[in-house]
Amino acid sequence: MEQKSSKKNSESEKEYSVIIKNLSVTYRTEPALWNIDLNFPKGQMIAIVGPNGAGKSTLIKAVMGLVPITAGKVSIFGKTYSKNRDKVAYVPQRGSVDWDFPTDALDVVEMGLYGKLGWFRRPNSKTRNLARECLDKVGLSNYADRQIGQLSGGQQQRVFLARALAQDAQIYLMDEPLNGVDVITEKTILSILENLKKEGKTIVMVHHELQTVDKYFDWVVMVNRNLIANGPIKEVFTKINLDRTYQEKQRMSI
Amino acid sequence: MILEEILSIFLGIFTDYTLRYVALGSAILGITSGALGCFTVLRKQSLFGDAIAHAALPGIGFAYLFAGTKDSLVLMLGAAIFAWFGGMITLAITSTTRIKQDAALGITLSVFFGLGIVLLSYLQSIGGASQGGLDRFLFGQAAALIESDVINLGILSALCFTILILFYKEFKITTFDSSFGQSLGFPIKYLNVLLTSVIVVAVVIGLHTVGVVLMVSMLIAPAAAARQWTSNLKNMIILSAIFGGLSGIIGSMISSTAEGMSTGPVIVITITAILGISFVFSPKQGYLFKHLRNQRKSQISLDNIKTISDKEKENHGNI
Amino acid sequence: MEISSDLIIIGTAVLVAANCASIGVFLVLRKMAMMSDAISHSVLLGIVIAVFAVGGREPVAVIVGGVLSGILTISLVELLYRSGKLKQDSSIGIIFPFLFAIGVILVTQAGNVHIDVEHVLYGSIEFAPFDTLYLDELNIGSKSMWVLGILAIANVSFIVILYKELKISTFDKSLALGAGLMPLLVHYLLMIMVATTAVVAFESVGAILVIAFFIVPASAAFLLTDRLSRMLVLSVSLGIISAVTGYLFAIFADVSISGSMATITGIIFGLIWVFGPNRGLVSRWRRISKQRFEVDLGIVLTHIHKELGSDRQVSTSSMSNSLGWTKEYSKKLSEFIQEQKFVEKNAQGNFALTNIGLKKVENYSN
Repeated sequence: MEQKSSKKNSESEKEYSVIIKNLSVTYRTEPALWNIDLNFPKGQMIAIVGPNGAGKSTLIKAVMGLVPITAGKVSIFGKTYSKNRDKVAYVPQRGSVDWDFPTDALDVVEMGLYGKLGWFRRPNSKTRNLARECLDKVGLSNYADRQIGQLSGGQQQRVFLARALAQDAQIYLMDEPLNGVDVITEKTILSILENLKKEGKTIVMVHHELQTVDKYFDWVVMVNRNLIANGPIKEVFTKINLDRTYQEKQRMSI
Repeated sequence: MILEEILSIFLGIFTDYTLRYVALGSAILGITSGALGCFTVLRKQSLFGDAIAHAALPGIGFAYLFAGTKDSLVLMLGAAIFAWFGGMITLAITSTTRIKQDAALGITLSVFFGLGIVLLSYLQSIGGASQGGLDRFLFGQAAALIESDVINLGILSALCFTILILFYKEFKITTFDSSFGQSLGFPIKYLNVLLTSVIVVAVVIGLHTVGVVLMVSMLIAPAAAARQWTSNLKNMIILSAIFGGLSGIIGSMISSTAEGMSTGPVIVITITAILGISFVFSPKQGYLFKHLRNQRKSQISLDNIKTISDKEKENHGNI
Repeated sequence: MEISSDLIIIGTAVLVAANCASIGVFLVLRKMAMMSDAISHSVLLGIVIAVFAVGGREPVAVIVGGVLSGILTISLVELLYRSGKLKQDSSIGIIFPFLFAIGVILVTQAGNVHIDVEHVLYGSIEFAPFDTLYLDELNIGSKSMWVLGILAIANVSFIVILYKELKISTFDKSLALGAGLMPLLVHYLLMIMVATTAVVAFESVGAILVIAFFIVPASAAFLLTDRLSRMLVLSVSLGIISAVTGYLFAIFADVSISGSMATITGIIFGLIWVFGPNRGLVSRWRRISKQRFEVDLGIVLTHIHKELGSDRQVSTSSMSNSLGWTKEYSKKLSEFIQEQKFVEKNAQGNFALTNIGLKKVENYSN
């Protein structure tokens, strides 16, 4: 594992939105992530790839503190996650939610603004309008009052993205958003993300499809419990690294 | 003739001293458990209410033992503490062992209740509680509600609704997408505890009116009925509260017509009937309209939004 | 021969416990524990109707009525659940209060037939010795023990004859479905056995405590073993112990017999939950603490190895900063790795891996 940059700290912080040092996450005795040193460069589309159970989802959850960290530190623009929460937007996997819940698309998007509202304040016309704008950006303005279970998989994914847009964050952490969606949705999502990238935002995506990695992304993180490789696609997304990533996971004897 | 009778019973709510409080207390129960029941049902914890209702019994016994008073507020406090404790034990069992939630609920329910029975028999032998105490716990005492009871229930209910309104969006996001809520900074664990606590209060109100066995229906049926009519959470809560309150009032009215008819069971039968009606007649999900729609559907082409098959649609509204 | 009343009561209790605890194993494993809750409450309706129909509390009628209402409950729950409008536990929570409510109304409105509330809910096992059967004027013993005994034979036969089918359909539904109609049949037969057992046990310990005997010993057994046969034996044994201990305690403290028995099942469960070998809280806590330490050890050594490769130094103080641990914990680990000779301090006072340490790190790496 080599650190690409030997730049000084302050410079690194200017280039990187997220800095991860010595990160280990273990569930019971099973290490999900082991000793990871990793930086997310600003303004890039970053893919996280690896076999099933490699710890990809765990990685982004660890960045947000959604799973307990066994060792290591994560800093977001130089501060801890809890201090810079509003700079990060999370798009979880579609399967993590019960789509029978009595709520419509607009409502879900509006939930993205709950953090900014804070305790005890109620959603109002301002939040409604913001939510509507975001829904519009993903091309679902006609579906605002559709109960979410009645949306297709791709539409549900777009609602999640709209919710993240409502947060107006600097970093977008997304867990397999392109998994199982239709072509229109994929195109829409990617073009929105491109625009965000142009605004200097960082997009980090757990991606399941290896064929499209070099088409859609600038930077790749290859993980299989350990960090196998991390860097620009052209340099790092090689056959050697792919083989190392996708080989049979070693039994760790602890 | 019948209309006159119904009218006179209805007016009785306002004029008849006892009936007034029975109806009011039952309505308060219905409204509160209707509203909060929406959350238990959406969190897939329908029978949780049943378990913690049974777990409350020893609390009443201990409250009487230590406070020596039959003051209903003290007893309700005891009930609430043990109900809450029962809830925590259930969660502890499921999170620390491989025992699943249904068995954990059964364990809590039966063991706590057994302990309660032991306590009550002890109290009986030292000449304290009467058998009537247990009856009231089992079947509620809607018919015996007096003004002070109703005031207490009203205050508890108001407390529940205050918390519900204050934390509405937090409860909503906790129930719908807790990891997203956590990423926004909401302390999901504490919100869950708060929500459980409010449900405990609703259960204590229910124990007072319809008793332990029937309590669970008042948490589920109004919410399930409301879900048939709307896909919007706020409307579902309001409608569920209305259904619950209505069943409380109608139940008291009907039970007042016959000598010795318990109020609690009638309320439960009423709300179950409302549920049945909702199943059949609701415009979106009801069987009647579905049938009519299916007959028309063969003439209308599906729009290409519906990538989900119709079969999946039928499963929506699953609670 | 005069059999002491105590023995009859204990005997009845033992039979109730054995009957319920054995069937209960399947309820717990099939995640249908709350079905026993539902059936135990709704049998009231069946019993009430049966009593009305025959004008008295004839045991056969009562059992038939109870079983029928048990079957009614299960059918309605399945109906509701399969309609897709409600989940299973919601269906249960609606049907049984509804049926129970109807039962209560019938009781209170009936007038001339008296059904005791207390008896319904926690039984009257105290009266078992006095409720005797007579065969041509010969007292052949307690009625309830006879009934329970017959039920026990039925239960044992059921379990033994259908053991293989029960096992398959409990643990691997998909495999079982391919095998034809059997799983469905087994399911309904099991439910009938539950209803019958519930009704009969009902008479002795009452509705709510039947649930205790169905679920608690079986759950405790579930924490002790992985094998179905052992689980059955353990469940029945624990149930019997609870019954006997509960009875003795109740006599000693002059409190409710059935309540005591239910409470004791809970106490036994609690003891196994906390102190049980392997799965008990205490043993798990010890194991997890040890494993935690092992993991952290691995992390430290890997960290040292990695940092040395980059020419950075690791000392006790830098450890807690880099890894995000408390200073006390870092100190503890530092001392340990030095003691175990995984590392040694170099000239500047920083850590370097020894050969032993190096070997250990190789275990961890990719």
